[in-house]
Amino acid sequence: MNPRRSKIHIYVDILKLINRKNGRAKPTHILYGANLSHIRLKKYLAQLLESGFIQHISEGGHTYYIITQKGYEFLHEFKKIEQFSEAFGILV
Amino acid sequence: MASVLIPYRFYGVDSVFYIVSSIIGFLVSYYAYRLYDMTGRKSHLYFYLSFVLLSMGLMTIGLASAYGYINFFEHGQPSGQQTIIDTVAFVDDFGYWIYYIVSLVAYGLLSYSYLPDKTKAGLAPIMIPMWYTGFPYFNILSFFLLSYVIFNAIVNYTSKKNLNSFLVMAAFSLIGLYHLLLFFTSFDKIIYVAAHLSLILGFLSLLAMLMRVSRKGG
Repeated sequence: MNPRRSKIHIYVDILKLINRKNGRAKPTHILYGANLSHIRLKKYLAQLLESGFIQHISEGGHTYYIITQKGYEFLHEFKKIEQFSEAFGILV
Repeated sequence: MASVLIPYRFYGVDSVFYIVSSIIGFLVSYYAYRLYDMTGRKSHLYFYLSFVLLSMGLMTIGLASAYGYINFFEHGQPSGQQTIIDTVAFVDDFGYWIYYIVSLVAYGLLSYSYLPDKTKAGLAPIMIPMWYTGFPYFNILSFFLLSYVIFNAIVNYTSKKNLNSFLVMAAFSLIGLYHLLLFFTSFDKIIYVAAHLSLILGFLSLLAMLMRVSRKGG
């Protein structure tokens, strides 16, 4: 993972990670997959929850994070914008 | 000011090319705004503003030159050696000046947005000597500013080797060629046509890239 990821890249990395886990992932999976400290992960998850990109659910005593429709739309939008900026050689 | 030789049959076609290029430029600026909206980075703001200004400049010159041609067809007769300076009224001349200034600021911002962040921090704002922007110096200055953007587009293509980066490289190179060719328009009429074909092909190349991005985004 790039240590100088922008905030937007961290959002996308978390959303992609949850997406890879069939749209729902445990906090520990996100913690290791997104390569973030516990404090930073909590901060970013709170921001993603506040933005409405993810939701948390409790199932069988475990907490899971799931991507919302808004989150999928954000990922879709990001993919387009990423391709656009890459075509110009501009970093997102 | 040097004369610009324009083939009679090309009268008005250049206006259409400017307006079409402007519309495509606005589409690019829309995507650039979405990029800025997503990241909030200053360099993306400059990139967005550069395309807004360039599109506004092209729209201004498109409408101003169209006005000049309409005026010419209604009141004047082609001699075969008419120059754009001979045929346009004050309004058109004013339109060209707006285009010159706005385009130079746009190219300046575009070049600036490609500078590495460390370099940007060390750069003080540079005043462009506007009295040198009159035709044909405008084109040389534009080409000079664009050459840095073209260089970056070439570097980007050589590292990515994909069609989108190729289309952007081709677009900036063709727009640069347009300015370079315009510098020589007093030599032959066909150079004016070649320059404008280069401009429209450049912007169509950007349009092709946008269509690919919007289609393959999902």
